[in-house]
Order: sequence, then C-alpha cells, then structure tokens
Amino acid sequence: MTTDSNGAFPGLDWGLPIEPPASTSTRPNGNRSQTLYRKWRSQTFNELVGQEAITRTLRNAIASGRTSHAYLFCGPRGTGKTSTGRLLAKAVNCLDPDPKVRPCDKCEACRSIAEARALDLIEIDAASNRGIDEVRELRDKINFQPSYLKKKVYIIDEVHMMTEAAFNALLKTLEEPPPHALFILATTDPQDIPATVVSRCQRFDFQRIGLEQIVKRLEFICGEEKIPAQVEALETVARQATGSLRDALSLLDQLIVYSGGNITLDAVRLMLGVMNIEAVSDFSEALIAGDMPGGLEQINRLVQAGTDLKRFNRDLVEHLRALMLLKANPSGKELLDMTTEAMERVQVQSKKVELAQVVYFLKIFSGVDYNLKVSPYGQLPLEMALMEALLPPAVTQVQAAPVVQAAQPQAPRQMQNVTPPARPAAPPPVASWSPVAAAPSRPAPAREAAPEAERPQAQSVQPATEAPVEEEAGLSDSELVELVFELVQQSWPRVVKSVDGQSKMIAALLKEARPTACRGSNVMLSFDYEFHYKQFKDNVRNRTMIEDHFAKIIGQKVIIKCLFDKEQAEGGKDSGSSSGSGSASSGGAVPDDEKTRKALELFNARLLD
Amino acid sequence: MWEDIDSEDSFEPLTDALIGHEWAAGLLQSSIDSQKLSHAYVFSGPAGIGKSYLAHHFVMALCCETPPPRVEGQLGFRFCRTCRACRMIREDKFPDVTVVGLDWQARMEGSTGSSGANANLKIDTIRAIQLEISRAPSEAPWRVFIVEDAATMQPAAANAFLKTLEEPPARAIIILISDSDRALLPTIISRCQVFELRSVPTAAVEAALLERGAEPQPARTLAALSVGRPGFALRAFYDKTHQDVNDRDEAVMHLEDLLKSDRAARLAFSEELNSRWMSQGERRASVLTMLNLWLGWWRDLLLVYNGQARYATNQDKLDTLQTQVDRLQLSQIKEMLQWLTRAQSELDSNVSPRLALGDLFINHLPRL
Repeated sequence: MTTDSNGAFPGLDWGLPIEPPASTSTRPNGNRSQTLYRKWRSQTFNELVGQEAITRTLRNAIASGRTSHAYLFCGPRGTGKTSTGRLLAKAVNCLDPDPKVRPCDKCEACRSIAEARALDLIEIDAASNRGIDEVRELRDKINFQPSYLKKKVYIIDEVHMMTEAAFNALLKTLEEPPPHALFILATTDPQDIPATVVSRCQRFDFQRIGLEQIVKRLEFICGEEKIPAQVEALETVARQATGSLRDALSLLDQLIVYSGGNITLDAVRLMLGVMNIEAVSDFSEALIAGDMPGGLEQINRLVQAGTDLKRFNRDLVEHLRALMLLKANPSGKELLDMTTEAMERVQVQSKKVELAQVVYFLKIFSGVDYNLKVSPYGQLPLEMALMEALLPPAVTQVQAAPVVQAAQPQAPRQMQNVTPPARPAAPPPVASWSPVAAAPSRPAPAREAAPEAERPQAQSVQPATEAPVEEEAGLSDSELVELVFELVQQSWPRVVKSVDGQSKMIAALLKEARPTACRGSNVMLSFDYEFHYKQFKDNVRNRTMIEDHFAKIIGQKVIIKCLFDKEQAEGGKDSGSSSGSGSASSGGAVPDDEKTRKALELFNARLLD
Repeated sequence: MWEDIDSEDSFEPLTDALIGHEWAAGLLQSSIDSQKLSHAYVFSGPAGIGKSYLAHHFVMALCCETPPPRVEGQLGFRFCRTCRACRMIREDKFPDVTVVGLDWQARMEGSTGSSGANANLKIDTIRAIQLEISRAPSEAPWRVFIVEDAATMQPAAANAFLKTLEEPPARAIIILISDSDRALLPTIISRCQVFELRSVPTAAVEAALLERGAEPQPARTLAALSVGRPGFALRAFYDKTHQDVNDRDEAVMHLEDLLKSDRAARLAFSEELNSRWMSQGERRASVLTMLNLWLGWWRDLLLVYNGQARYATNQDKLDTLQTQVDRLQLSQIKEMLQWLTRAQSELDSNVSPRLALGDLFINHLPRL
C-alpha cells in the first residue's frame, strides 16, 4: 500500500489496493440481496451473453495454450468486459485437466476467483488510481511470482482514465511482462488510449447485446429467481436497455420490487412511464393531421399525468421509425419485433402519410431528447418540436404528384389570400403571377392556374383534413405577411444551395435566375433565358420545390412567380398594380415546339422521381 | 439554469412532507420491505422538484428504528419521526448518513482557502468517499452516502467513482442527486437504479400550498408558475418578499415595453442587461431568470394561441396573453421561442451578451 502524499485529505490512503470484486457467488448475507447484475455475473464462457466471436476466440486461445500477455477489452457499458476479464483470469488459472472446458468454475482456482479471495487476481480501478506512482508500484510488484495461482492477472478497469504519464510508464511492462503475468485492460472509451498501448494488446471490441439475447438471459434469470414474468414485459425492459445487459438487469431489479414479484407488461409500463402505444400513436396521428392544438393538449395532459416525456419522445421516435420503415419497404422484415397492436396502428397511419414527411418528423423529434434534459420548462422542447414539425409543412409537396383537377376548387381561396384587392375570385382561374400584362392567348390554361394550386395539390394527396388544419395553424396568416425583399435576396443563394442538395439539375437552372421583386408573399424570379424560364413557368413541380426550400430557409410560405427577362421591361410597370391577371407567356414565351416541351417534362419527371 | 434551491433548506427542513413522487416513494419503500435494495441510486430531475427531500425520506425509512406498521393500500415511506435515528437524521447529525456535496467538500478541504472557487466535486472528494464508505455502519443497518451536486463531477471524478458504484462494500448505499442525468456518464447511470423524478401535477402543488395556509388564489398562481417543481412553489410561498412573483411581473413588464418600443429603446435595454451580466453574481443570474421567464411567457402565448390556455404557466395573466396573441402570428411565436432558447445557450457558452441579446431584440423580437 502506498501512502498518499499529496491528497487533500490527510491520512487518506488509497495506494494500489486490491479492491476485491465483491463476492459473486456467495449468497447474500445480511439483509440485502445482491443486485442482479452482480449476482448473475457470468461464471463460465457459456453464460456470457452476446459476445460469441470473442468467447470463441478466447476459448480457442485457452484450448491451444496461446494466450497473449495483454488484452484490451473495449465496448459500451454493460456488454461484459469486466466479466470476460474475470473469466479469462479463471480460465488461465483453471486446474481442470481438459483445457477445452476451462474455466470449470469448480476447481479451487476458479472458486477463489469467483469468491474474490484470489490474491493473484489484482483488479485495479484505474480511474481512481490513475497516476504514474500507482503504475510504478505495479511495476515493482509484478516481478514477484504469483502466490497461489498459476498466473498473476491484472485487470485494469476504466483504463481510459489513466494519465498520459502513467500510460507511458506502463508501456515497457505491458510489452514484455514477466511470463507469469497477464494484463487485461477494460474500457468504454478506447479512443482515449494511446496507440502505443493499444498496439501492445490483443484488442477485442464488445458489441451491444441483441434484443433477443437480452430477453433470453432475462428469462433465464427470472426462471432461476422463481419470478413469473411475461415475455412482452421482458422485451420492453430489454428494449429500454439499448444493448446493455447491466442496464437491463438494473431495470429488472427495480421491476421485481415494483411489481411485487410478478412481472407483467402493465407493471413495466407503469414503472418506466412508458405510455401504452395509444398515447404515442395518438400523438403521431395529430402530427400527421397537422393538428397543433390537439398535439399541445396531448403533451400537457401527459405532463399532468406525470409521464416521463423523455421516454414518450423515445417511443414516439420509435413509432415514427416504424412508420418510416414500413413506408420505405412495405414488405420488410425490420418490424418483426413489434407487437401486433402497435403494428396495426402503424399500418393505418402509414396510409395517410408520405415518406418524406415521416423522415422530416423523425429528424425533428430525434433531436428533442437532449433538449428535454436541459430545458427548465419540462415539456417546452417537445412543444417546440411539434410546432416546428407543423409550421412550415415543407418536404411533403416534393413527393406529391401534381393533380391539377383536384386542386381547382381550392384555387380561388388561395388567390384571395395572396392578393386580396382588385381581383374577383373568378372561376376560370386566369391568374398568372407574372406581372406581365395581358396577352390573353394562353396555350395551356390549366397550367396557368398551377401556381395557386400547388399547395392544395400537394395536400390533395394527403388526408383531406390537413388543408383546413393548416389554415388554423396560421399558414394563411403568414401568407399575408409582407416579405422583405432584402431577406429574399439574401437567402437566395442558400435556397439554391438547398435545392442543390435535392436536385442538381434544378439548382443548375436556378443559377440563371434571380429574385427581382417581391410583393406580399410572392417572389418574382427573373430568368435570362427562355429555356430556363420555361422550366419553371411550365412545371409546377419545379416551382414547388423552390417554394419548399424557400419556406424552409426563411420560415415563411412564399409563392414563386416566374418572369422572363425580356418581358420584365414592359411588365415592370404593371407589377405594382395587382392587375396581374393575364398570361405571362406572351409571344416568345409560348412553347412552339410541343414535343420538345413534353420531352423536357418527361425528362424532368424521370429525374425527380 | 435555475439557481440551486435544493440545498437551501431554509424554508422547510428536507425531512418535512414530501410533495408528489408517490410512485418513487412507494417503489423505494417496497424495496426496503422486501429487502431488495440496490447499492446505488440516482435521483434526477430539475432543481426544486424534490430530489433531496426524496433522498432524506428514503434514508429515514431505511434507518428508522420503530417504523409504523404497513397499512394496506397506503403508498409512501414509513418512518416514525420520533426515534433517535429519525431525529438525528432530521438534524443532520446521524453518523451513518453522510451528505456529500460542495459544502462537504469545502469543509473537508478546510483551511486551503480555495473552497469558494470550487464548483465541482473533485476526484479527491470521491476518493475520500471511497475511504469513508469502507467503514461499517455504527448504528444503523446501513451506511448511506447522499451525494448532492453529482452532476458537477468532472469526467475524472466520475470515472473514479465507477468501481465503487458498481461494487461497494456490503451494507453501503450511495444516492446520487443530479439536476439532470445528462451530466452523468452513461457508465454511472448503468450502475445505478435511476429515479427520474417527473413534474409534480399542478394540483398536488396547489394542495400542498393550501395545506401550508396559502390563500386559494396565490396558491393557484404559484402552483402554475412552479411548473411542477414544488421546491420553487414552497420557496416563493415562504419568501415574504414575493421575489419570484415580482421577478415574473417585472420580466413581463419589460417584455411588454419592448414589444412596443423602437430599436433605440431596445438597444438601450439590451445594454442594460449587458451591464447586469457583466457585474456577475446575482445580477447576472437575474438576466438568466428573465430569459427563462420570457421563455415561459412565449410558451404560454403558444398555448393560448392554440386554445390550450388552461395549461399556461401564467394563469393570472391570461388577459394580457390573449391581447398579445391577437396581434401575433404563430410563426412569430415559434421563432421567438427558438431564438430565446438560442440566446440562452449562447449566453451559456460565453457569447458576448451584447451580441446575443442585441440580436434577439433587434432582429427577432416582433414589434407590436
């Protein structure tokens, strides 16, 4: 034992103690039963869960007598690093004549290690003994022969916390330890370990343990402990543990107490604050329907009921993920671990929603977890996420195919919103948003209606409820907001860049365009060349794409109007007055070659889809 | 963000009544009854929610010499409050219960004089715990360590705790108390039984205030303002200067002024906040408090906008909220919430307050 010389607490002594691992097999004495994760630490390689590759390698090494002198075990918490370390210590010391069955867990050596009374198993807590002095002490002592066992095993746990100097002091010893010594380093953060240390060890990366294997282990332990448990309940626990067996067993411990020894799904849900699937899928329903008041109310009701919002959010993300997977691959097998009830709900919802929308929601809600932990107003991050998800209802329109007819009835109302004065909502939707006047000879009237119709078109693909809800949600209000031209101009490069992420071609086309004016929420794009102009003028989809990206970037709904430069000179005067009714495509803008136009459109469609 | 009011036990001893958290209390008591205690617990939740209360109640139930018999259907801890153990825990004198925290650390360091500057639990403190914990309990069946401010542990200290947390000596129990489990390493969390305390329903806080003799109207207001943190409500209630309510009124007043005023006035106010921030200490905290209160206010605007006024925090100001909502758009509310959050995190990460707040006031605060 060293004596501390520089500690702040005089008399404190924490040299290089051999912190005995608490006894793992002795049954509890006193009035506490040991926590499950300590009680059920694996005692043989067969019991070790979920690390088949590693156990096979180690077993073969033992069987052939080719153990290395230093091992590095890394991996996330609760995957079995320390347990494997102790197993390895047992295996190299095991007295069983057949090397293939080592460790036997029966011989004296194995027992002494399991009961934490083996003097030659030295388990070091590197996080609290992390300095160079401790390493020097280790170096001094390592040359002594083991006192009882065959090998002297050093398990250095949490090794990533050692200081730089300590690591370096260890290097020579680690490279060529005396033949009777075996080093096992264990850590959760291998990236913090110097490469010089790593290269001297055999490195094993522990994987997160699969759901199934955790469930199996839980079932086994429940059986041994004589605790009746529902499989679904154990599944929920295992899912919560995210691949860490210790987490799972901690939860199981808590659950045994909570449920009074009979583990049911209800008990799990109550304890974890997991809502029943209903709450989650109701919320997702509100999300899909764009029902903000409803969503807000649900969140606050959950809070009043004392639900754990972090878990709620996690479940929500899980639900959305299921939705996404189902949308992306309806016949996929990724969802097999869902309960039938949850599956049904997901299937119903998947019919009402577009893949892009789900992805968008997922992006937003998967970022909420952190904020939920730091926010002073518990539910605010979730509320904000809800708002963010519903306010600029971006993305979805991109996927939606334009269906002009379906949109017709909606068009007049939209028009009124945008330019309130001067225009009767005339049934033949003659509104062209280009400020160019007159020229009534229009080649494709249906197309002319398109600008106003875009939004509704997109919606028509979704459940009919969405359109009115979005109105409530304030979209129509924000459409009336005057856009600031500078803002539009400033954000234009970003819009182009954002479009670039989706379609290189459109972005290239946009390079020839620039916003020249805005009025209300209409943004005028001027084009230098007729070709580019037509790409947008005649193609609703392209315009919608720009509008979406605009909406995302400036946070407001805009309507894109196209303008061919040649016309701007004559059209500019009119742009002030709202007498914009008339065709933009006067004279030269009329596509004379119908075939080319169609071909281009076809080309676009292929590209986009 | 909220000043730590857990350690301020001036308004009510930690061993007095526990408000809310029946589920946690029930769970812990039944683990005592069935002798299935864990060796390490984490109690986490926002400041003022009752973590320390829960810990002290748990310890009393653990150590009580003459616990009252179990009553079927009754949740919560059972202890007598009159036996020697209960009394000594109440007076914080019980030898087998140690409350470790920044104070304790400062005391242990004694005359080194640097105690004031320490905002973290240090690795030496953890080592001291390791040493202390190896001693067997002298009176009670358990040696209990309540580690306050566990979230202030830096990675080195936290890692040093790992092995002890995983396999402490027999008959030792460690309770970590943390404002949020984000600050605790996942490796620590996985070794403990975690109790994430959830917001206490507003009704329960209100009832508790009424029980302590509050008038119905202020009780309602305070309960709503506390957002599920009974500690906040209690402090505001016992604080006869009504500091918290005044803070709120002041923040709202400033906000209303700002909404009307022009850029010059806004800049001037941002300048004032800047000077408050620069003068450190309490005045700096007042800026954060104001931003928090504004955040709450805009959240209420969001709720009122969507017709969910009954969940709003500022229940006594619904009229004002409504008037403002009539002139606001949802997108503006959303943006303000986002920008406020952003300004807070900017201030947290040492962005110049002049920039953070100026940006907020000039570029983002809508003008009504």
